[in-house]
Amino acid sequence: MSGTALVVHGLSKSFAGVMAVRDAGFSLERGRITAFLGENGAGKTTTIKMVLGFLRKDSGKVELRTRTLGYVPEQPAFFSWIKGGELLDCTLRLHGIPHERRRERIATLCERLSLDPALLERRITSYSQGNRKKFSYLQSLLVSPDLFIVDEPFTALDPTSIMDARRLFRELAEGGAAVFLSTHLISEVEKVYDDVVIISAGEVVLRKRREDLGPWADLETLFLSSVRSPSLRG
Amino acid sequence: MLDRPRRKVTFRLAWLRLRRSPAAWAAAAAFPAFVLFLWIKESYGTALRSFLFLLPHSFLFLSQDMIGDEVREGRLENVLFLGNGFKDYLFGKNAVLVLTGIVYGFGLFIPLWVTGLVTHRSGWGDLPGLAVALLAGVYYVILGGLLSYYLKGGSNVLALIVVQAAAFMGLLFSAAHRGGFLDLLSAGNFPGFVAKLEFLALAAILPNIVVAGRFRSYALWTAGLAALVLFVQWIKVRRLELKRP
Repeated sequence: MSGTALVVHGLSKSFAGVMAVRDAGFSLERGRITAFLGENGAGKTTTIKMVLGFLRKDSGKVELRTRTLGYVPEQPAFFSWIKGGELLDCTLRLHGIPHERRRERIATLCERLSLDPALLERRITSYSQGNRKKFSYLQSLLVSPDLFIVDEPFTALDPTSIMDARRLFRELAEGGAAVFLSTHLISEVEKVYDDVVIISAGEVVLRKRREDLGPWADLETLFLSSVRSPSLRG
Repeated sequence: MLDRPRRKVTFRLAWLRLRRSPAAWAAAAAFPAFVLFLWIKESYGTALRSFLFLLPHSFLFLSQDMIGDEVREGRLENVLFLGNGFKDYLFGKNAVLVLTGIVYGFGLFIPLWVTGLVTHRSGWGDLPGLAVALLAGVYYVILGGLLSYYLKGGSNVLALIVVQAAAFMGLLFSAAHRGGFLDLLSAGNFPGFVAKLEFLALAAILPNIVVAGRFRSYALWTAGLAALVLFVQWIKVRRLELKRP
């Protein structure tokens, strides 16, 4: 399973004259997990939101070469009046998944994510932060995404769920999806990444495959040296 | 134009939101209760006229908190609304609310009207009044939707009602002058450019006024305004970005 799932060229965005992302470019390969690293305010979320179409780009190009896209935001927010099951039903309808396959698919994923299926009968806003994050994973995974984008994948998750999430990312990649994990929690993503893209002050300063980094490389050192000396651009 | 699955999902979400809104239920129940009260206390004719005059406001209540909070609180940053999905959903809500208002309006009008037909107190001549009332309602949904991009919670509806109350006070003050605007309104005749302009401004903030038989020719003005506000809303939604404050 190879090929490119996403190509981003020269992406730029400014807010009220302040440049948030400047000329960002990278691509995501199917079957690989890409860690998207940056400090707080480096432009990670802005880049992701432009890729997803939630923000307009000032310039640049986003080429999506996928059929289905999954997205888990850092802090998922939901309509206050909707129950979990109803939102999942809407998601499945939108993707034309037949009614008879819906229940089975939801049950499998609930088990996979250790999410109590009884929660789906309740309004999502009554869930704990952790369960909201798991629910967001569940909703995104329902559509079997070719490209799975997660903003701060480990926020609000307990240690067991973090381990489950890492396993899940690997399974998705082995199934041929491109997985894009935007985070500043380097220690967690280090256990699972294949490629790394580092963004600093709105500029992509490094793009590397893990195998090109050599066995000596640890992600934290690489990150710190990249954000301090942008000349390491890959 | 929305594709079929997106249309279905937009309809389902907008409808669920309405179904779970206590304010919408309260408004939906209070209106027929008020009309029934007028029927019992006053007369069938008063009840029917009041129904047609007030029906547009039930559309206005539907537009309460239609857009802004969903955008500001990040609820649209969801796999359901990727790409331009959130824009289609927001714009599509206009259609769902208009349709809901029309079904609600017809649902109340038909028994009221048929009762009048049977007892010879209503006739086919009331139907244009209904059409204009529905048109004014459509305008309210679109205007309320546009206002909700800027105003939080249900304050889009409140702001419009406050403006209407201010206009009403202005009308009352005008009654102090002989030949004031209130006199022109009761005569249904607006000599001169300024008087016509004043009426058009009044009809823009209180479109219910065109339901009155002598003003029905101004329904075209309401339709034009609805189209204009819809166009402004369309531009607004096309340029919309999901930014959390």
